[in-house]
Amino acid sequence: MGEIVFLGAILIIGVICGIQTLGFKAIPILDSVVGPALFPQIAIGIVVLGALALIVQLVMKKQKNQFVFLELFQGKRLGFGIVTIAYVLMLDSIGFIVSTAIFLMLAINYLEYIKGIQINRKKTIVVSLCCILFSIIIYYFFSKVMGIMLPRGIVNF
Amino acid sequence: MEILSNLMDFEIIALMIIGSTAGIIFGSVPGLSSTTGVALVLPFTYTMDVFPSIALLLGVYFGGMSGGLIPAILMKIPGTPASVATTFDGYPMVLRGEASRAMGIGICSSLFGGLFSAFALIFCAPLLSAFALSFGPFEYFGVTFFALMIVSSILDKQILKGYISLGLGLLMSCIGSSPIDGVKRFDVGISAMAGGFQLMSVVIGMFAVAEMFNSIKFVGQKNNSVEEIKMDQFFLKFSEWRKYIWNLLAASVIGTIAGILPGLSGGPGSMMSYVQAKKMSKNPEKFGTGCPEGVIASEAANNAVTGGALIPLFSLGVPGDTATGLLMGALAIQGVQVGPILFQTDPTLVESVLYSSVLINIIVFCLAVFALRMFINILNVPKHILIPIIIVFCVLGCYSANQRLFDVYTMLIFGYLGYILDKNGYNLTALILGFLLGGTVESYLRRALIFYGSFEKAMVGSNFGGIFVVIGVLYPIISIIIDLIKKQKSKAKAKELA
Repeated sequence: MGEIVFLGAILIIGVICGIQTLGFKAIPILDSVVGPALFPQIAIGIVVLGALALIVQLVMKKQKNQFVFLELFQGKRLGFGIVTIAYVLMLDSIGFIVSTAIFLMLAINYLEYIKGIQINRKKTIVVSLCCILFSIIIYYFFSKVMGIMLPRGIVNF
Repeated sequence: MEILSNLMDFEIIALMIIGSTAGIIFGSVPGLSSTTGVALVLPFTYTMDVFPSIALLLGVYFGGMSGGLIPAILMKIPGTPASVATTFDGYPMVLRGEASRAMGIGICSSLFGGLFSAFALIFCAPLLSAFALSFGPFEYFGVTFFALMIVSSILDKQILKGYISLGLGLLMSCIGSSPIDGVKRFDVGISAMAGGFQLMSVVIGMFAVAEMFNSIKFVGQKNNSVEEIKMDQFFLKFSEWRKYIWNLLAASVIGTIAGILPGLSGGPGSMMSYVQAKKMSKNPEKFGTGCPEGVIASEAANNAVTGGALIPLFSLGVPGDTATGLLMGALAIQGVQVGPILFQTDPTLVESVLYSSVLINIIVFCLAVFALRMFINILNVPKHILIPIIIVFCVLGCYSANQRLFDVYTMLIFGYLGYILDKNGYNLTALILGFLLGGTVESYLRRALIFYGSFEKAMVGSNFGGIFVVIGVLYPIISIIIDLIKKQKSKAKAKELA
């Protein structure tokens, strides 16, 4: 059932995109033969036809396969996913060094907890210092050596 | 004699080593390709003479292409788009505890592919350029269309899921401005979407981030630690060279041709080679599970692209990819106009450059062997530390390409999408190939149809583009029929046994 819902979502996206392609107008001076809509329509055609055929195949099939979706938002992965999403969203506001150091500290401690490693104060301090140092080294390597400015955030650091 | 003295000059060799080292570093950092490396090193060449500057830039270019295999094999992060296919079998080999062997096969194949294309550059440049000249837009469309269609051959039992993946990849490539007329498509009012999705966001998200979500379940399990590097496993034995020679040759030919044809560079070249190797193999079911042939196909092809891309540059003055375009710019700054006339006006320079490509490939190989000892220690880092660090490098890889956070956000979305698609049997290879080639296919199709006026006229009027299109259409149909016949035969056998 889960896969049929997934394919249904793909079909809806395909139909919406298909309707949108009707609004892609060609610029006659540059291209009066094909236009910008043809190729997306071919791609949508492949997706929609494939999804429809697969839905028919799944409905006719007696043995149903389990659709993997929810496991991504459960257990160990849920916690790690939340920390990762928070890290990515915080990059802009608090900058690369601070957000990376916090992310590494949280993620490493969380995964250690999952692993069953006892977390003590001394170890936490060492890990935290390593995370901060790693973030600073990476930041300076990219900005000074590679010439790539990583996000500095409102703290400008 | 003058060429030899050029090549044996201490300064030249030192520049080649510096360039190759920088190239390997650029290639091994996700998001920083050999093109980025060449662009960043370019300003340092302004004050140099012509040949030293080319030696330095070629070192960066060749090293960058080889460096991509390091994170691809060890962490499943493609360092460059050209090393995507390396992750398919390289990383499973690491999981099996064969990191030294995977890296060794990758580096030896890179050397073979690089040398093959370097010799192709020396001996066949004018001939191969004439071949490239006979390609019009419809021929390019035919070749790329054919490449997409042969994807069906790697889809195994899940043909429909493969085509859905291919369609999704093509549709994703349509997001942003259209080729030729720049019409905005599917940007949903978000200005960052106007440029479409960044290739590295899709690739890193689908492969590396998805793999990290998968790896969480291994936290707490013992690492496949590499206590010592076994050099006897590292280099290919004579019997292995003999066993894989056709695979190496086929991959090198595909890579060289992909390099010659503009728009097809390393990514599609290595993917096509991987697909072809799987098709040629006696054990295609082993591909994707840590099969050495998979690593060979990808690495030999993506390194063969380097020499291939230089062929049209030196014989026609047409760069094969962005990095060679930058090389052309570097030569122009030095007052050298590349093209067929250069063979007459400065043959020593041309021949020095051609022969230096052989030398640089050997230098890159030696450096890669040396770097292996350092990089392979990554595997000794516990997973609970390695996974967050890899996520940071994924973020860096996506951000570095365009320096915009939108690419990092999309990387995460593609990470989740890649996990779901992969776990449910949808083919990520087909999706990536569709995304990689979508823009090229569309661009050539539109240019061809504008040129000929209609599809029918293009089919009849083009040199051999129509043949590729016909084969491309027939190929999946024949594959499906053969598959059905095989299934019926096995059913009949099962009935007989029952």
